[in-house]
Amino acid sequence: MPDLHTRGAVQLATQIATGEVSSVEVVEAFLAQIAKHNQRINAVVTLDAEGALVRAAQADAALARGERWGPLHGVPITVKDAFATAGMRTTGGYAPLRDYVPAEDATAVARLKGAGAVLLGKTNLPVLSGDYQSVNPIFGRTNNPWNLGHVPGGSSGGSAAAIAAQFSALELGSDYSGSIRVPAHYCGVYGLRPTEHRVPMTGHIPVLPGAVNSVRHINTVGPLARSIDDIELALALIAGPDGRDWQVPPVPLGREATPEPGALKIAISVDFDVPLSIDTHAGFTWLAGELEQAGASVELIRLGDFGFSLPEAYETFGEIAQAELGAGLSPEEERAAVSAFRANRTDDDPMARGMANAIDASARFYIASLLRREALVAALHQAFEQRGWQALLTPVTACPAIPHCDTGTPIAVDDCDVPYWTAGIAYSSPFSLAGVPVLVAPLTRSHDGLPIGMQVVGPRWGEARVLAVARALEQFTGGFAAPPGY
Amino acid sequence: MLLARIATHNPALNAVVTLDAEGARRAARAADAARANGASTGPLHGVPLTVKDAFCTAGLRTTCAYPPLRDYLPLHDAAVVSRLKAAGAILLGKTNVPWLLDDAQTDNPIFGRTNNPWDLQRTPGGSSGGGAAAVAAGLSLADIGSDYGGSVRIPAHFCGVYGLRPTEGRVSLTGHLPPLERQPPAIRHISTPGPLARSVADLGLLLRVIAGPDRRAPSIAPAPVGTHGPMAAPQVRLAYAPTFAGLAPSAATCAAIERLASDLAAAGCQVDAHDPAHDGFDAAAAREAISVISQAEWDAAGWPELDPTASVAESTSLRAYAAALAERDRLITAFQRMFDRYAAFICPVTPTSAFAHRPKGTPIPCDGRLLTYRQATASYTIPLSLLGVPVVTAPVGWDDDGLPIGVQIVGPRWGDAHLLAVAALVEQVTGGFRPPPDRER
Repeated sequence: MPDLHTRGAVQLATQIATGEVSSVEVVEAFLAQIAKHNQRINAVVTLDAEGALVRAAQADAALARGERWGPLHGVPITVKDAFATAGMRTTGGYAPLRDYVPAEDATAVARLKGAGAVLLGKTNLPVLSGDYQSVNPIFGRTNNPWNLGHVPGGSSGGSAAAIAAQFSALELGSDYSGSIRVPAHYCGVYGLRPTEHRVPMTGHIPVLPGAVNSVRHINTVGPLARSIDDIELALALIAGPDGRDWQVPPVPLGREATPEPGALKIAISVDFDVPLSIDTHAGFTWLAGELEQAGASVELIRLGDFGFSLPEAYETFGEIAQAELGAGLSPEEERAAVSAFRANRTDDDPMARGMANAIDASARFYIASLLRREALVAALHQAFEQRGWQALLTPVTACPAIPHCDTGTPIAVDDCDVPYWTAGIAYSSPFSLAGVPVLVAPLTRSHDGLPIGMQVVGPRWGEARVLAVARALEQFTGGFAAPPGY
Repeated sequence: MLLARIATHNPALNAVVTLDAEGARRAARAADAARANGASTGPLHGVPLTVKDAFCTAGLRTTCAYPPLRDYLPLHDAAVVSRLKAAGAILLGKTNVPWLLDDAQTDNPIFGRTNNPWDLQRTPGGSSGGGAAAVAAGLSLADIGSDYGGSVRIPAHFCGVYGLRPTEGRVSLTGHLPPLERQPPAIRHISTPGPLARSVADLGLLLRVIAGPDRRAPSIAPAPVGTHGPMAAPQVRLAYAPTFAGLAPSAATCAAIERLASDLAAAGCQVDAHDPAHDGFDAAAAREAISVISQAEWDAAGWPELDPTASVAESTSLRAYAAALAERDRLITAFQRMFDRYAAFICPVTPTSAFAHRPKGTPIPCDGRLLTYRQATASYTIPLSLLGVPVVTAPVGWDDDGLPIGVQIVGPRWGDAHLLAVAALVEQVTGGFRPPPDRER
C-alpha cells in the first residue's frame, strides 16, 4: 500500500487491529519514508529500524494470538530526544549526554509503548530545548519539510517535521514557552500543549538526569500529530498521575461533542502589541468571517481589556522561568544566561526585565511571582466565564516559519524587524504562563506556501472543550495537508 | 434544638464564639418551607453546622482570634462557606481558635479559652479546638476546620470526634485567615480545610461539598472525590505503628492502637505492624523540609508583620525552597511505597490524650517522661502534613482518665474516597462516636 505513511495513529491502530494491514508493513512504510526524505530534513536523529521491526513482528504475532496490547497496538511513533527512552540514546541535544542511554522510559513514553506503540526513533531539538529552532552540536540542524531553507521550529522541531513529512504516526513533544506550538504551526501539523500538570514530566530532559527538579510550573508534555483524533488518543494515554510526579492530580479528561458552527462562541485576539504578518492576520480575518457567516458568535478582543495584562504576563513569565530554571545554576551562570537572552532584546522588554529581576531570587520574590501569575489566570478564567467563550483563538507566532538564522537575529515580519524572541514566543508565552491548554491547528498558508497555524486556547483542564471546538473549526480550515512532495 | 444545647453547654465550653441564632432560625425556616414544597437546596439541606473562626463569613464576625479583627465583618464568604451554603447548610456560628491559629490549644485575648467537653480542665486541642468541642458536645452537627500541622487532627483526637485532613490541593483556602485578606495568599502547600463530624459518612458528605475549584485559587484542580463502596474486612490490609516518627506514645495510646489492631484482625482484616521508616521515610527530614517551606511561605505571606515576636530569619533563598520541595517529593515517594501493599496506615495523633490547660510551650508529661510542647503536639502530625496525604482521625478508645484516644488513618494522595471507606470499616469495628457525658451547668 503506497500511502501507509500518510495515515494517522487512530486510523492505523484500527487497520492493524482488524488485520487490514500488519504492523510490520506499516513500520516498513515509515522506514521507507524516512530513508527517502530524512537526509534532507534531519528530523530523525536516532533510528532503531531493527528494533522497530522486531517489535512490529511481535505486535503482529500477538494479534494473531488474539492479544491486544492497547489502543496503539503496532502503531509506529517517534519521540523528541528530550524524553528518556530505555535502551535508546537520549541526548537532549546536549553534548555531555551524547552517549547517554537511560535505563528507564519517561512516563509519557512508557504509556505510549504500554498502549502498544512501536518506537522508531528520536527526533531533533535544540540544546536542552532552549530555542525555537532545532540545531545542536551533536546532530546538526533540522529543516522544515515545507521549505528546507526555513526552520521547523523548536524545541520540538524534529517532532513536528517528522509528523509533517510522515516519518511516523504520532509524536511526543514538550512545551515551555512554545516548543510544541511553534513547530506545529511552522510545519502545518497539530500540536497540543495540555493544561499544566496534566501529564507527568517524569523522564524529561531538562531536568538533567539526577538533578534536583526546580521547574515546577509552565513545562508540559504533549502530542503532535496529523489529526485531532490522534491528539485526543495520545492525550488520554499519557495524562494522569504516575506515582512519581506528585504535581499531577487525577482530573478526568472528559469528552465534548463537536458544537454546530452556529453554536460556536469564540473570542479572537490578534492584537498583542506585537507585529503580525499580513498573511497571518488575513487568515484570522477570513476565519472570523466564515464563522460569522455560519451563525457563530465571534468577538474580537484585546486581552488587556479583560484584566490579562500582556506586559505583566511577559514579566511574570520571565521571573518564574528565570527563578525555576536558574535555581539549579550558580548566580554567575544565571547572570550569563540572562545576558545572553537579553542581548537580543530591547531594553524595555518586560520578559527580559523579569528574568533579570529573578537572578538569585529569594523564595519570597518567587512566591510573589507565582501569586501574580494566579491573579492573571483568574482574570483569564473570569473572562471566559463572563463572556461565555468556548475558546480563544490567537496567532502562534508573528509570522510563518522563519529562515535559518543565528539565534537572536531580528526577524523580518513583512517590512518590520522584530526581536528574535518576541517574534517567536510573544503569542505563545502568555498562555504558557497561564498554564491553560492550547491546541495548535492548521489555519491557512502564507502567500509563499508556508503553513500558518492558530492557537485554540481554553481554560485550565478544558482540553475536551478545546478539542471539540477545534473539530468544529476544522470544518472551515481543513485539516492536515502534506507538504508538496511528501 | 442545637441552639438550646448551645445555650446550655456553651458557657462552660466556650466553643462557639459567634452565634447567628437569628440567621440560623431564618435559614432553617426557609429550609423547612422548601422541603414542604418538595424542593431541596442541596446535599446539606437544612443541616446546621459551625465553621472555624478562621473562615470568612460574609456579614458575620470573623476574627481568627486576632484582636485587630475583633469586629471584622467580611464582605465575602470563604470558598468553603460559599459551598456549604450552596449545599443548603445552615451556618449556626463560628467556633473558637487560638490567636492566628498558632497553637495546639485554643485560647485567645478576644474570646478566652475553650475547654474539652470530656474534662473542662483540659484542652480540646487546636487550632480547630472550638469546632471539635462543639461537635463532641452536640452543639453543632459538624464543623469545618483547617489543618496545617495537625489543627483538625489534634482536636478531633482530644475530643473523640472524627476529622478529615483531605489530600492537599482538593479544597480551596480562599477566604481562610491567616493570611489576612490584605496579605498575599502565599501558603501554597501543607494547609488545607477539613471537616469535623461524628461519623465517617458525614466526613465524606462534607468533603464532597467543600472540595473543588474556585476561581481565585486556580491551583485547586477539579479532581473528583469519587465514591468507594463499603469494604469488607478480608479485602483490607492495614499497616500500623504505635511508635512513629521515632517517638513512642503513652502506654495507654500504645495499648489502644494494639487493641484496635487486634480488633481489626479479629474482624477479618490483615493487620501488620509496619513503620514507613523501613521504606525510607525519614520523619526528621520531613520536619526539616516542612520548616523550610513554612518559613518561606509564611514569610511571603507577611507573617512577621502579624507576629513581631517571630524571630527575623534571613529570607529563604529560592534554592533552599526548591531543594525542600524536591526533598518533599522524595519523602512522598518513600512514604507511599507502603500503599502498594497496604490500604492504609494507622498511627497515633499525639503521644497522649488531651492534656491539662497550660501556657503554650510548657512541657507535657507522658507516663514517666516529660515531652516538649512540640513533641507532645506535632510529632506524629507534622511529618504527614508535609506529604499532603489524606488523613482521617478516628476515636478508637479511652485512657484511664476517660479521655478519648484517636488514631490517624492515612492513605495515599488523592485516595480520599478509598481512605474514607477504610475508616468506615474501622468505625464499624470500634463502634463509632460516643458523646462525652453531659455536664450540669
